Amino acid sequence: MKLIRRLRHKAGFTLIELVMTVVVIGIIAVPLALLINQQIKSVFVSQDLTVARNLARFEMEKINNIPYADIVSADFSNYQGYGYNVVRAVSYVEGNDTSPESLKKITVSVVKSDNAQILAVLITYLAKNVSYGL
Amino acid sequence: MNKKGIVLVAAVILIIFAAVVTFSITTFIIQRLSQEQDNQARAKYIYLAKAGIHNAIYFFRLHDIAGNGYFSLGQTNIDANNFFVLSATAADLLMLNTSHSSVGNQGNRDLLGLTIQNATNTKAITIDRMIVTWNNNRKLKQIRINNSDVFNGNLKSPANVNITNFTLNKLPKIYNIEYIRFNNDMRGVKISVQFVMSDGSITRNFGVFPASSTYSFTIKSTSKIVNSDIYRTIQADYNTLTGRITDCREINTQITP
Repeated sequence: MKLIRRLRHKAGFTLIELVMTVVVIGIIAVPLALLINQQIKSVFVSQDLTVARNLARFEMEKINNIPYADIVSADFSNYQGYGYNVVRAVSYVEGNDTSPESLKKITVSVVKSDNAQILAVLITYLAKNVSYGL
Repeated sequence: MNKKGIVLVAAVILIIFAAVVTFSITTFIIQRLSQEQDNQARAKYIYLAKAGIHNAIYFFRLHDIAGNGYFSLGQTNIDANNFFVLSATAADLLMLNTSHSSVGNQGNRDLLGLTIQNATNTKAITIDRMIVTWNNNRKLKQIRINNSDVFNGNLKSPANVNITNFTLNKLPKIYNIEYIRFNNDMRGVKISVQFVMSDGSITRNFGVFPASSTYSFTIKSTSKIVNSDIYRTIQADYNTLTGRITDCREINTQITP
């Protein structure tokens, strides 16, 4: 009997307590969820930047190993099958096609195939007929 | 009353915990993206620095067509955000042409056919001393550069020769080393020369006889992006006789304009 009486006196959660609990949990959970979402996004952004940077470097190294005259502007869709587009922009800083000496500016930009935002840009100059080695 | 107090304390603790977690995750995200941006920049800088090397080589070759090759030191802006700075010590800029060296005159006592030049039109460079090395017991008697005797004496190998300072001015010009004279026949002897410049820099040891295809300069290029502290510097040796960059390496020195 004592137990039944004690249970009868034991009050449950009031509506206010429940609402407060929900509000507190909401205050904590909403920003946390947003942050976790941001964290997941940042993983993908980071991955995109890394792949884009590597593809830009790959293209730059390729340019270093092709004849000077063949280094011209070009667009490559789905570069190397990675789902990124690479744009190679070439212009003369000094001289031109017929000059005995000339200097080209080469800009390599990488974007994701489904997004116009530029992820990586590399710029260099190349002088005509300069090679590496002894 | 105590129970309500506990609920309040629990709520505060939870909120603090959430704040700490939020702050940690935010910091982590920001740092990772910042690190990624730094990596992007570092990859970019190496190609900008190479642009500086090629820029110098282009201008050297362009001017070489008309007479003496040379390039300018200092800052060049690639665009509004990116630039490179070129620099070199006096030793880097002193070019010695060893391709036409020979032994002759005076009973084959003279080393002939060497020429020197300054690779830049930005600053004059001065030779303070010459270290001449050869592999026999002959003695070094005289050195004549640009029709002036810069040394007279009697030195054994290796000879650390305190010559009359010789300045290669910034007006591009090729200077003749008319001869390096010894006291006896030098046919078949290996001779090498090192130059000590007035800024304290020392050239590498040039093998001047027998003749070789060497006529090089060294250039350092630091790349930077406006409002960034990150930089990368490349040092390259360019042989003007072969048109090749014979050595290209990164060094940990920032060149400022």
